[in-house]
Amino acid sequence: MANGRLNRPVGRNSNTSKQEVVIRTDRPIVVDATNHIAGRLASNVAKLLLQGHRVTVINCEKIMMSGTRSNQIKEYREFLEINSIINYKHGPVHYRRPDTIIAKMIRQMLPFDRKPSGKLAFQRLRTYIGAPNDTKSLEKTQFEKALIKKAASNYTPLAEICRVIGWTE
Amino acid sequence: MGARKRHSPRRGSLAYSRRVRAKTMEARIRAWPSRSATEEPKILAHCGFKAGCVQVVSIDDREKVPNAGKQLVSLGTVLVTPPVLILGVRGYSKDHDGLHAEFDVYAEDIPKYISKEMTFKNKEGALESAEKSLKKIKEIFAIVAVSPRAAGLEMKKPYVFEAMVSGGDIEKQFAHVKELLGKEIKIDQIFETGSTVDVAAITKGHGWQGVMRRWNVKKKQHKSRKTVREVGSLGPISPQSIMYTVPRAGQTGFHQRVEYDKRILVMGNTEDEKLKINPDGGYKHFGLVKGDFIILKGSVPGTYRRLIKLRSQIRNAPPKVTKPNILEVVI
Repeated sequence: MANGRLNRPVGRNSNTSKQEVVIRTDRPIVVDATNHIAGRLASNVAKLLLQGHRVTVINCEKIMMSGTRSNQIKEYREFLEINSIINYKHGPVHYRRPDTIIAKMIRQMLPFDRKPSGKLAFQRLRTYIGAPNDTKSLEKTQFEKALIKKAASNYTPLAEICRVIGWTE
Repeated sequence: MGARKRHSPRRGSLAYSRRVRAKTMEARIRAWPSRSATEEPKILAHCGFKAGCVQVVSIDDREKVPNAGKQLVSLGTVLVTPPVLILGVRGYSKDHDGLHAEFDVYAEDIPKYISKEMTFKNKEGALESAEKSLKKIKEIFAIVAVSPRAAGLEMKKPYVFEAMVSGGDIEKQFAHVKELLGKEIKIDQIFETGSTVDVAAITKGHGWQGVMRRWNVKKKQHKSRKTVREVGSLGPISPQSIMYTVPRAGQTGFHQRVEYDKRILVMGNTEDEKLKINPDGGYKHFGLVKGDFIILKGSVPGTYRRLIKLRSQIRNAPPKVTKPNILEVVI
C-alpha cells in the first residue's frame, strides 16, 4: 500500500528524545482528499506537518486540478523533457502516480533540502491511492478553504492526468 | 548526417540493453497466456533439460507453402522432461502496487529428495484461511519442483518455480491444484504432440568479448591506425561522455531469453523400443536419455544439461492442433 519511493518509515537513527516518541505513537490526522484543489491541499498539509503532526492523505486519485485539462498535460510533458541523455539518474524523478505526485507537491512546500526539520516533517507524511484498511476506523478531516467551489465537471481529477502521463494502474 | 550512416545502419540491437549475466541459472517467465472462463483450469508450464540435437525427417503439413506434402528435414532439440512435482499453491491479490502473495499452501508428504535440500512447512490452518481469502485473490500459481537427478544429472538441489493456472474462475483453479498437491505431473498431461510452446532459458555464456563478437561491429581495413577490431568513433565531443548507444566490449552470453513458437514434434519414453533416441555412448556432455523426452523443432537457447522452461504458446495460438507426420529421427 505504501508507495515505495517517497514514504520511507520514520528514520531509526534520528534522536529518540521524549517528544519524538510522543509524536510517533500519536494517531495521524487522516485527510480525505476528494474534491480538494491540489495546491491548496498541499499547503494545508505542509503547515500541519511542520507543526509536528503526522498526516495521512487518502483518495489521492480524486484530487482536482484547476485550469484546462490540455494545459495541465502540456505542462507535465514539458517537465518530462527535462532529462539527461547520458544517465537518467542525473535528471529529476518523474513521478507518474497520483499519490507520489501529491507527495512531491507537499515536499516542495517544506524546507526538505535545507533543514533537518523539513526532512523530519516529510517523514511524517503518508499518501495513498484509495483508502487503506487501517485508516477506516479513523476520523476523516477536510480543509474547507481548499475544497472546490464550482461543480466537479469544471475541474480535472489528478487520476485522469496521470493516466495520460504514463500511470499504469 | 555523415556518409557512413546514410549507407549502413547501426550495428547490433539495443533491444536487450544492459547485456549482463543473468542472476540465476533458472530463467523467469514474466508473461502468461490467458484462457477464457469457459475452459477448464490448467497448469500452463512444464520444464526439461537440454540433451542434444537430432535431425527429424517429416512430411511438411503446412498448407500454404510450396513444399506442402513433400519431405522436410529439420533440426530437432532433444529435451529430457522428467515428471514435475506439485509442491504447493500460491494466491496473489492485486492493487496499485502490483501483485501481493496472500497465501502459500504446501503438500503434506513431500518426498525425501526435496525435503532433504529445502524445507516447506505449512502454517497452522493454512488451507482453511486460504479458502476463506479466495475472494480477493486475482491470480493462482502452482509451486512446482523438478529434480535434476530425475533426468540423470549429478545436481542434487531441485529447481522450484511458479507455474500459472488459467481457465475457469479462481475457485475452480484453486480446487484443481489442491487435488494435484503432492502428485507428479508428466509432460503429456500439459502439452500434446504437434502443439507449439515458448521456451525460456539462459543462453550459453561466452565471457568477456570484444566489440565485433558482441555487437557485430564491422572490421576496419588493415591500414587502420592503432586497431582493426574496434569501433571507429566513440561519439561526439559533446556531451563529454560516452553514450549508452556506443557498442563496447563486455559480457557476452549467459543472458535470459525467451524464444517463441517451437513445435513439439515427438513426445516419447525410452521404455517403448519403437523409437531409438540414444546415440551410441549417449549425447555429448549429457549422457544417456532415460524416461520421458520430447523433440522440439528448431534450436533452443542454452547449453546441454541446462534447465529449460516450457510455457504454452502466448502468440498466434492456432485453433486446432495437428499431429506431425514423422518419417524418421536421424541420431
